[in-house]
Amino acid sequence: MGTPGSGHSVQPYWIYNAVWIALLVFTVVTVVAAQINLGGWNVPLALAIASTKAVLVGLFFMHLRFEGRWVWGFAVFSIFLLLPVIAVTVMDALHGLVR
Amino acid sequence: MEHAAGVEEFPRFETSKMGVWIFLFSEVLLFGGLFATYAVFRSLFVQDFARDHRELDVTLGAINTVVLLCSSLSVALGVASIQRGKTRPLKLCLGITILLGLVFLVIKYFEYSGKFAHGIYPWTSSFFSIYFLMTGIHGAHVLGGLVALSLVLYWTFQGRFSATNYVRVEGTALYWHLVDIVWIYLFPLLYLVA
Repeated sequence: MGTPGSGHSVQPYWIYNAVWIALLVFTVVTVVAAQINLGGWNVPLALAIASTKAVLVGLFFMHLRFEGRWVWGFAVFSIFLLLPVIAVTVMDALHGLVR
Repeated sequence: MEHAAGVEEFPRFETSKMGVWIFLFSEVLLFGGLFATYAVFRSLFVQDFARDHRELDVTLGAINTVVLLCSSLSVALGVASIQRGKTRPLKLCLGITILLGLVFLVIKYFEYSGKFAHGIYPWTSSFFSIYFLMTGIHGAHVLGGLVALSLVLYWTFQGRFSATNYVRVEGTALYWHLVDIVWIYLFPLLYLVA
């Protein structure tokens, strides 16, 4: 392909189509799952499905699976910075409510 | 600037892409702040969320999800084409992506105007303030992505890209995918399980 180095990540076309079909299937699954009352589990399930879709887009459409440790480092850092920020913000808000 | 430049192109390619990724992670933190706001509002105004999210049209939200997923596929195929040095399919893919982005915004426009017609505004309730805030900022990103994609399409017609020189195509595609990922989270959180 005349593509120098790891940064130029050539992937067969069928992978894109397969990932796209998986994304559509997960979209149907999340709509159907929301119609069923799972009590407190609806939100974690919706977030799990959304995260699976996000990982598929990241790995295959954005070629994250070909990226080096720097991009992965930034990805892990920003996500692990974000999750506690959201969690602590919610805890703080609920704490204010309890008082 | 044929062969020697091609060799030079490689580290520049990597650093340019690194720059795009750092920009994308700053975007993740921007939307992360919005998702934190969503989480706080949701835990404080449980009834508002449970009642008001039923006003949203799940069908339109689902259609827009599919539209964005298709646009992500087409821009990814565009990058795959230019990696193989093919500019004709790149033009087609960029055209389809732009068209789908416009479809997304048109549907969003009808959703917004439908809400306004029913007297629903950002200040109507806590749910609608976060709904308009998040979808509005996301919509602005779609608009920005469309401008970038149009520029890339223009450059493609100028013959600026090749199998070894396509970092602007890939950078714009990365941005478009991130906008898609944000919507992947917004759709269930606002339309389905609020």
